[in-house]
Amino acid sequence: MKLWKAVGKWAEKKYIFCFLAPAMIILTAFAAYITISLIYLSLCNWNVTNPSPVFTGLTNYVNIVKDPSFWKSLGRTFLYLICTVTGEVVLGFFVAYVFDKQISGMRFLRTLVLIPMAITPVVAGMFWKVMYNTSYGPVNYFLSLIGIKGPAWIASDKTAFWSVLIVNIWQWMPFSFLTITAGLHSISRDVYEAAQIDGAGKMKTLFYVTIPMMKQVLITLVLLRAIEAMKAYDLVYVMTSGGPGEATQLLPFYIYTKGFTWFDFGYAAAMSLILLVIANNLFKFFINKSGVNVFYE
Amino acid sequence: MFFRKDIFEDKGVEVPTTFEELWDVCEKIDDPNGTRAIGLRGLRGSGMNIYTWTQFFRGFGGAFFQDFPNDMTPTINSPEAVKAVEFYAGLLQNFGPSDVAGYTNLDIQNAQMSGAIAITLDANVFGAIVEDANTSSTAGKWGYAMVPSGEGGQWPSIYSHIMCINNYSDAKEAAWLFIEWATSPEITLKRGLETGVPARKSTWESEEFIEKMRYIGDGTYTQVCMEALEKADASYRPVFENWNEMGDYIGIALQDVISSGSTDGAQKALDNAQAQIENMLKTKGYIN
Repeated sequence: MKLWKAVGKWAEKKYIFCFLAPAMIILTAFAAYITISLIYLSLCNWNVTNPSPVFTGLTNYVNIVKDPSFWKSLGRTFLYLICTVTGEVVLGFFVAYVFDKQISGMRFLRTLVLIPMAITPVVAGMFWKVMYNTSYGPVNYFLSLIGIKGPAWIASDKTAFWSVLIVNIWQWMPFSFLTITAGLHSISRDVYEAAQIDGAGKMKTLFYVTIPMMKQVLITLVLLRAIEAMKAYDLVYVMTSGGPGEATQLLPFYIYTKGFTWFDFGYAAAMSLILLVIANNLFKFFINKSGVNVFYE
Repeated sequence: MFFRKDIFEDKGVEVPTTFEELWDVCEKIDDPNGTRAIGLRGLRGSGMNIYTWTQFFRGFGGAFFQDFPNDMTPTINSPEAVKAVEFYAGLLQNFGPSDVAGYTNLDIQNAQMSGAIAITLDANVFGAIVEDANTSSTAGKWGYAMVPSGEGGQWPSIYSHIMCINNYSDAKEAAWLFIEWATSPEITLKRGLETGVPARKSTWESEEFIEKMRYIGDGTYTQVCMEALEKADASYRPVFENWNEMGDYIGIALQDVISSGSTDGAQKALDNAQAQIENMLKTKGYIN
């Protein structure tokens, strides 16, 4: 009886926790089960014809450290991350800044800019594949009209990585554009008036007023896009299958190939765990360094 | 082997029967500003570029293993393998479309249908596709012949889909009866008339089927397919659990060489693939 009363009193005080508890328990259990299974699988060798995995300890991790493909894929993923986030955010900011005017027809232009984001990544990849085709694709055709012989885009080991990168930036720049437009609108006019009174020109206003005031939005945007970039898989799968050679083999794609094409689930699980840990630490470090409150603290 | 009859006639070339002849023919008919001489799958994969490359690999006398399945030492960086890679990549680099390094089977079909290539060595299913007047601009212009041969003989590519009964199934009997029905001569004939690629010799030889397929290559298609079926060897590519990984490693090396613009890197790429495959076979316990 007394215990019941005590619990009741506690529940009254911590009612928020009680309301959230069911959802939290289910989510945590789900996430915990998956993560623990992944950790266990990464310590095993699961041969596809054997119904159960065989525990082998740290052999997967040792093999991964010795695997040059893994390190190269990881390096490529980082390069991809840096380039795509920079491209998306800088381009998105530029377009948002230029389109931030009250002219008629701006709404129509803004809708046009948003179209790439509305396409499924797989469809975008397939259609860019046709665009990049050197025999009948429009890109090389238009280049030839101005006298440039277009490269073999996704079929050349020198340009494949950048070709896929361009498609990714093309597709996700609208997301940055949207976020930054919203951010720009949240800055009150007073600040700009004050800057004008202080004699600041357009460029100075941009770099010393607008961007610092958008710091929170920009950091969140960069973080979100970076997390997405670390999962880059769909474009690679549809456009190049990691080729030519291994030129566009990003780590998520390598993990997929190892796990689902070569049926080495233990090795793939170990690689995904390593990727998870690296990404996690990278983002924590980044958030702390920038000194910005991304989450309500 | 698919070839453009009209282009061959125009340039006055004969159908090649050996790899040397193939190279000569490609040299003669290649038009860098129009229809390229040849297109072959370039995209990496044990079921992609390796599917068509093995025709050359085994044709030059190469073999995947020392003595499959007894001695699983891989031999994919042998001189024959290097020759096959240099030949395949050389053909494509000199006489193929500039982005052929990323070509899948679908890209080859598109290239055939749009008139971008004049020769290809690929799956016979393409026949019905490139001869479809509704979608192909080159319908009716294709000739069919056996693939060329080399020192190692003639190795037409072969692949088939199979049906399996799951060991844990509750309805094994029913599954077996279904398989019996679906692969019976009568049903295979019915299906063959619809799809154009039956799996039974009796269907290939039936009058009905040959008549239905006459529009492809004027009857030569069915003839060549039957000849190829006789000649093809089921050990075309090794059949074992980890073939996907092994084939992929070779496919990566091959695509690397094709896209690099020259064939100098062939030995190095194959040595690299050989090391990766040996590593994989050792960890899986096939070799010591």
